[in-house]
Amino acid sequence: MAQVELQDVCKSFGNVDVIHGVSFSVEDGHFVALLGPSGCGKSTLLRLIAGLEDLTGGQILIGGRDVSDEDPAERGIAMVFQSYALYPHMTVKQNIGFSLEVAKRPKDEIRAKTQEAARMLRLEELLDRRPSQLSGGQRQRVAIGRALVRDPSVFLFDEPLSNLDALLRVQMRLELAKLHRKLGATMIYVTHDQTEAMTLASKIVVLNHGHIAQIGSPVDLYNKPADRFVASFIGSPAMNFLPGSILGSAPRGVTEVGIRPEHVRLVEQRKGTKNLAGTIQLVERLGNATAIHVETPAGTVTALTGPESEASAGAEIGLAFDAAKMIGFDADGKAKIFGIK
Amino acid sequence: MTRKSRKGYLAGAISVALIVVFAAPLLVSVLASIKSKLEAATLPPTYLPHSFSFESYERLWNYQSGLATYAGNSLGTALITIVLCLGLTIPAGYGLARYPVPFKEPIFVLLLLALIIPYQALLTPLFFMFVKINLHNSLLGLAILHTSIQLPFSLYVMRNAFETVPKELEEAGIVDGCNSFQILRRVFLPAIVPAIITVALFAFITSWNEFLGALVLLSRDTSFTLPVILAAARQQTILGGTDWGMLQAGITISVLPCILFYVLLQKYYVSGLLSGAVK
Repeated sequence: MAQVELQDVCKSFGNVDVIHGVSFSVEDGHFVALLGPSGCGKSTLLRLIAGLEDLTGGQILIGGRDVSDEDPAERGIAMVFQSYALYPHMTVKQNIGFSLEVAKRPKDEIRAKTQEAARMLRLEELLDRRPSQLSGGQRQRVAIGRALVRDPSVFLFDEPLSNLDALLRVQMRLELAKLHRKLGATMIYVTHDQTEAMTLASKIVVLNHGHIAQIGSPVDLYNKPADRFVASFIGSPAMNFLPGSILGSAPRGVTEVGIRPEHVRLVEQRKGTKNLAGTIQLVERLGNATAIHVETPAGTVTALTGPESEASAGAEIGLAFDAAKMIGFDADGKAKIFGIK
Repeated sequence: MTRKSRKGYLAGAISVALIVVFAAPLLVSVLASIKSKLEAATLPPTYLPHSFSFESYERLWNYQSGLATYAGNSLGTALITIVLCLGLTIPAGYGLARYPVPFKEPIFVLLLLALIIPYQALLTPLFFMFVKINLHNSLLGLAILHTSIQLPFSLYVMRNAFETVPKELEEAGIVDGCNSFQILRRVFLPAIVPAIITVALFAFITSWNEFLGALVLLSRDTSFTLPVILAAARQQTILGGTDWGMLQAGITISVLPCILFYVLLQKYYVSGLLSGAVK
């Protein structure tokens, strides 16, 4: 296992700069997620670490060794692709053992490692099948098995669960977490799904337009986002943003405030009170909670309440905010204050 | 009768009619080949043979250097053509599809332009050139000509096939430690088997049936191919007339390998070998 370090990494495609001087490190044995919206450069960054793209600038170190100019196979990495990328003409056994075969490892070793990976991933019964005879979840497990047998220093995952249905995704998420605990390997995981990132990773790197927006633990990113982008990207339903003026006298420099839906309460609207009021547009019953979207003069506000909420669309309602949980943002979108007194 | 089943019957009837139109000449030819020499030459011709006779095949078998020689020449030429076509278009298609070759689109279009020049127009200069390098009267020379006829189409098929292989498969190969030759051999080639079969099939049929080039390039009796000998066999009665029975036997025999080759390999045409690779 190894530490991964990116130093001022840049990548351009022709005249288009995609990654702008990104630096961060992944400690040995940690699970780090690269999170961001489509087009933010997270997959490109992973491909740069893998060696599938050439760096335009900067350095990548794996286990303290500069691998910037090395071929992917020499970097000690293994990659699991979004689309599985299984060799269609090979059986599961051949797919898993392929890299060892290319490396001309002894047959006994190939057999033993393939069996071990198959056992870990519960693929023993499927070893003689071809990828076309497998379900999506099974294919993904084969793709992981292919990475496992290489004993890599670093596992790279490129949105590995995005082709699976919701239920399977949750199951595979759990399996990946178990696998990480069992192997204790360094893992870098690209996703646009914040739930995946927050449940799997000990550290999340949030990317926006090829820049790092924030690096932190899932809880830190949720409670103390660095800016409006991170605040809006992390959390579902998304954070509400309201003009600072709703506070009456906003703290100095604060032009906008953000409040998470679970910190918004629905209250009875009485004449003469200062609460923000509005009309319920939509009630989403999520089973374990209810998301209520209220149209107010300050914009749409989402409140998250208990599953038994009796709110109904069209009703007039007042909104109360837990000011201690509010985040104040300045005109540039930077978070200034956490909790407004 | 529902509208759906009526449509089904109509489609079936049209298909049967088309099969009859295409198969009838072949059937007439096969039937004529098993008539006696006299019956095959009868006017007006009979459709069904009154007696079965394989004497046309016997005459063809012993004709000049023998059918085996000519069929062997045709087969040899066709096989060399397949090898040359695949040997040239697999690396070319791989390069043009997967590598950042400078000006690769203009190069590709230029190579395809050969499709619009009829090879018949080039036969005379080719003949002189082949005489100079001693490739006339040789199966290799003829195969080179057949390859040049087939090359643009084969390249088109091959490049398209390489382009359809998902990039992730190639990248998985790179991560697994393959060099570019190993990626071609272990990852791409198994994935483009249908294209390889298609190119081989067309190269075989083109070479097996090609007449004019063979007529121009080959002048020695022992190096003739089937189409050349069949044309010669038309003038084989004592009075210089046509030996219809032998001609039809020749046609029947020359059609067989094409049908056999196609029937054996046609399932690869449509098979989705990439299924299961991604998503």
